[in-house]
Amino acid sequence: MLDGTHALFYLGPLAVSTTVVTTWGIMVILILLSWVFTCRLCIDPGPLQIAVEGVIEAIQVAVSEVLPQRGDTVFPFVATVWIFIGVANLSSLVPGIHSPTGDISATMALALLVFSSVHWFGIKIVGLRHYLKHYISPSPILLPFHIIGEVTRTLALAVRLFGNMMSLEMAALLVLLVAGLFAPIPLLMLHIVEALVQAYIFGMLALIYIAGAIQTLEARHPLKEEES
Amino acid sequence: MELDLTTFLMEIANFLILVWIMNRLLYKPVRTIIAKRQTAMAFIRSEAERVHAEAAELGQTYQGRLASWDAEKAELRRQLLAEITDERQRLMEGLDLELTDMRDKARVTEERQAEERVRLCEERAIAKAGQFAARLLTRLATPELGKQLAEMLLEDLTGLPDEQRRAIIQSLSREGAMVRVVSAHPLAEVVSEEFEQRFREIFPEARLFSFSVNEDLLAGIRVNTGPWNLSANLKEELAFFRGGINGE
Repeated sequence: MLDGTHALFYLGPLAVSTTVVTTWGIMVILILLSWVFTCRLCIDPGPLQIAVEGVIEAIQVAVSEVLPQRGDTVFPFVATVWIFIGVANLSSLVPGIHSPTGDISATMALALLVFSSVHWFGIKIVGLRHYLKHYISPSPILLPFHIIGEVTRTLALAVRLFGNMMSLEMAALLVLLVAGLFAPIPLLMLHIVEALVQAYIFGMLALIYIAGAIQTLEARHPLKEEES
Repeated sequence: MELDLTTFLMEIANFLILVWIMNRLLYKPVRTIIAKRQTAMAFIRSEAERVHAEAAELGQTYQGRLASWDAEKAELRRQLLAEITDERQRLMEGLDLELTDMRDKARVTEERQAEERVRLCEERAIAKAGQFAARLLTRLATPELGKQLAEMLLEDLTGLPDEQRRAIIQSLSREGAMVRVVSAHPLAEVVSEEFEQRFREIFPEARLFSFSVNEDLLAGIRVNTGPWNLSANLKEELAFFRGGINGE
């Protein structure tokens, strides 16, 4: 039950696991809700539109505070990280649903996306040569340390989220087994808080990594976009 | 805990697809509507600021106009006060002149009244003096006084100026010219003769004499010859006295 890695069905040679199916379900829900929300957008908003705009505005403010000049570029990625991981973490509250973030494959994929986005935005802003050059500055001796730092923080990002969510599900299962029906509500409250906190931590770390790379490179090199 | 490569790759693909769809379906529309609202709010704010600026400008203009009105009002009030002061001064000067004229008129009137009172007093005093002298002389009017007055007349005739003397002589020289002697008391014959003799010594041309009595003379005599009246009696002396006091 806790393991979402087993294949539910096969698409040709590809084994589609529970994690992937749950992810698809979350994606469908998010897309449908987005479509429903944005169908009735107007200048004079209703309560639902105010709530959605509040969430989007809060994410945008958080991104803009960390990255005042590149906030619009990074915003879709970071906002999707926050929303997806938050919903994925909360999905385990539904009985019979396994959270995708409780699978190391999913968290590694998300961590790899964060790792790739850092390099993507870095190369996009200062160019490939300047970007690779910062790994050997101020001294080539620091190159291994840079590489180790990149790998370990990505690995930590993935393992932190996986470990917290897997342990949270396991702890909840154990408490339910031991205490029966006496502790579900506090445990559910803890689950909600933990799910949202982990989503916030993952998204904020991703934002900080991207912002750190961009601001460091912007400080060292003239912007590629400005040169062009 | 097992890393499944298929799940790993499909999660990457799923997330990238989700980012793309969410960006198109949720983020862009919501941010667009927020931007529109902010634009509308900015427009409304700019309109409000413009209206506020216009109101401030109008207020400033109104304040300036009020200040101008106040200055104009103060100037008009100052002019009015100056005109009132001038008019008051002019009226005061007119009143001063009128008062001076009235004082002069009152002073002149008072002086005239004082003079009139003095004149009336003098007249009363003269009248009283005349009455007093007449009463006194009436009691002193005796034949002896008449005789003395006749003597005084003869002495006065002796000292007449030549011109009057000649005129009297000429009057006496006329034919039938009579010397009429009127006395307050009957004259004795001796006295009459003595008077005729002494009168002829002064005026030898006197030939005819007549003697009569008029008690109104009080004392003394009156000699009438032609147009001349030669008097030495109390009545005429008192009249002369009163006339002398009155300046007549």
